[in-house]
Amino acid sequence: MIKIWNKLRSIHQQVMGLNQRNLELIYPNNPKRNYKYADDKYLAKEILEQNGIACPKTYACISSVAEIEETWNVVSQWNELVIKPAKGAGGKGIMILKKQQGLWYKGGQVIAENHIFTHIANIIFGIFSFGDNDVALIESYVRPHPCFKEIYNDGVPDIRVIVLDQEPIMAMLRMPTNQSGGKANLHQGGLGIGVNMVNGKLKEAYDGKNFMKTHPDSGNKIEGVVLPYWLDILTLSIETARHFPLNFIGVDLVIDEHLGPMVMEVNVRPGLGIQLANKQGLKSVIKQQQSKS
Amino acid sequence: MNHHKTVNIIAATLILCPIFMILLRVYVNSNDEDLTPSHNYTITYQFDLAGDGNYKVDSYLPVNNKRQQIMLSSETDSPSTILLKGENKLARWEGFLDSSQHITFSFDYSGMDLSYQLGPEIPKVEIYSRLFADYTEPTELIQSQDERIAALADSLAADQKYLNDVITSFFNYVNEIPSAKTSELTDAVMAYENQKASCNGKSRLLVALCRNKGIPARVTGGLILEETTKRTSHLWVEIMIEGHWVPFDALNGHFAFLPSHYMQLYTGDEFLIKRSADLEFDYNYVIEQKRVNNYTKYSSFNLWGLIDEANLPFGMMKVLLLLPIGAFLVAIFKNVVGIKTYGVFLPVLISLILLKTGLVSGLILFSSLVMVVSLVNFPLEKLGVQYNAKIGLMLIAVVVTALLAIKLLHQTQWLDPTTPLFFPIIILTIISEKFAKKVEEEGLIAAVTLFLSTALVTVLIYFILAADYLQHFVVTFPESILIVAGLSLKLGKWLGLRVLEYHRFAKVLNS
Repeated sequence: MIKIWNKLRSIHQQVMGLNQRNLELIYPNNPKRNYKYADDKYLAKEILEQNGIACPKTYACISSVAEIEETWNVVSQWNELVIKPAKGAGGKGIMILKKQQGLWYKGGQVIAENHIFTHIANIIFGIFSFGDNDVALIESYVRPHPCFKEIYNDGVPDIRVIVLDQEPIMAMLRMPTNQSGGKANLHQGGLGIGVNMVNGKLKEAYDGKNFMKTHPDSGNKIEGVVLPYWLDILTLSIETARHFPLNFIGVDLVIDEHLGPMVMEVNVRPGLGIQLANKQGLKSVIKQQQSKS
Repeated sequence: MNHHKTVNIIAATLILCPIFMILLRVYVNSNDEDLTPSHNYTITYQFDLAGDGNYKVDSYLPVNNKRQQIMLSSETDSPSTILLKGENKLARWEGFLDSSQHITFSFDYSGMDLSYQLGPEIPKVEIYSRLFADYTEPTELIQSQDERIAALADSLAADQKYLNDVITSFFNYVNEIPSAKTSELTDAVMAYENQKASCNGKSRLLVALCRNKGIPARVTGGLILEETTKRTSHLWVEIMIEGHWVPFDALNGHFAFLPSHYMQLYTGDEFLIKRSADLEFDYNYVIEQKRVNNYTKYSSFNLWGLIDEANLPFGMMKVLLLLPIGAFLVAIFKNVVGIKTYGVFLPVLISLILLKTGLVSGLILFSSLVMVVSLVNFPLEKLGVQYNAKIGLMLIAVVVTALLAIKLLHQTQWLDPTTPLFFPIIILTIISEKFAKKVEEEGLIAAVTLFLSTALVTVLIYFILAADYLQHFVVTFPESILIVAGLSLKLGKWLGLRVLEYHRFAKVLNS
């Protein structure tokens, strides 16, 4: 009985819940009128590019159906590209295209240009963004760093860094599994892997139920692997936080094979599952941060 | 920065001032009023006669006693004579009929629950069967000496040492006989043989069993009062236990208990209405529920008075005041417990509708409508139909499904065919779309889980809002809404972990 009570008390002392996150982190740090700089990837991209923060190159933005064909003729010179809705959430509406011998491929299958045009039109019509008209972004494709292939050879793993008052306080690597189908999202069966903030060393992986030291599908070692470019990742996160009018954000980064780390997205409502991946409560981390400063 | 002080001051004011007002009103009104909500109704007998010649209509009038009070209304067709027959009061309207005649007779009723606590070891006492010999004899419809009844009574009463055990055994047996919806005359033997009976068959069977064992018992009749116009009266049983006629209703499962809305009209195996033959005759009982403000002094906002004066429908005023309480409860479930639901207001709206449709049938109907309509989403999504147009199409699906449901209900008589119309069409559309979207994004299990937790919250809120006490309380003390406002404000600044988060994050400590 006392044991249970003590356990509940320490959870209460260390872990950040949704109520407290909303009231003490999001509301005071992120003014509502500035949410758009993170929620709208087009605006986010503008800030990142203007301030020289590494991010995937924007080839084009299409905001009206009339522009689709003309713009496509320009961007189709590239051999790999990603089409995504600016206001989409949860990875919906993202299409990855690769060109081989003049034909476009989507996930290993040939796709006709007409279908690509329909997809872009659907993005503009707002199918992936709750009925609001939207903008289709066409960006460069990010080829994941080979270090990730040594763990699991599919999909694009990304790194979430939570930054409070321009200081990175917690991070995790999100890694796809067979079950998650190339996606790194925790809800869809991906892995959350805590990261040591000091040296970028990976902790154990959490799949929503259990902790594990190796990847469940490949069996390759996870715990102890050191993320490359760790200092650059931290610097990029801080730079991002400095240029966005938001003080509590989740910065999502990927590591490109050649170009190194780059910022993909900024999130104004970072989820709390990161505490599980790190086996560490945000409340205690923030307390430590405050006692330092 | 967090405005903690301001919020606390406003919340405390909102909570404490109304509490003070309520206590003050309870105190100053305490001498003349009782906190228990009694049931008040106006009952109108409507008789329609057609034909030529002399007519005579007999019906019983309720008698005043400790648990029911009757007040005759002034504007009413008074009976020609009132006869006292035993414990009953028989009213007679008579005269000469020339083509047609419409008789209305109304009175006010207020009643209280009557409940007996039966001791564990009540001895069987011979004396009562002699004192109430009339109530131990068989009659045409209560064949207490029939051998089938005797055999049943013997088997049920075997090994039962005390009177209360015998009665309990009889009651449980009769109560478990399946109910029949017919109002056809059923005698004790028929009820036993058919193993299916309505109130009159069950009551006669229970009385026959008692009489067979020499326990005085009788049927008694009246009306179950509810806001409606009805033609069916109700029969239940009274058994003589230690000098008291104790009520039992083996159809609705009331053991030694008579609810306040049971208006007793007569005792004995009688008919509520008798009239001269060779006349066309029709009748109705119109029942209206009346509620009275018991706390008029210092009442800043006399809602009961307003309801009476402006003739407002009590049901709608009730919903108006329960809505904020419901919304607050949803917020508690979400922010304090951590149960997720579809939409913030959906559980409140649905539970308020369930108050009208009935809990189980309403919930089944609602869920089936949502499931059927959400199926439409998948082909539309596949075809890539744009959101606004898709919602329009799903709305049409709701309308079509509702029409089909109405037709089906009309044919099967399972529910009142208008029931699907109680659910707002827009709500059905939105929830169906949300459900379908959830299936697509997170899978069927996640979508159904969320639907079930929404239903759970809905049912819990239903039980809270359905409480008669709460409904009376908020209408009597509308200032209590401000208390809800204060509590909501406090909840809006609640920082604690949600109950379910303790479970979710338990593994954070494992290091």
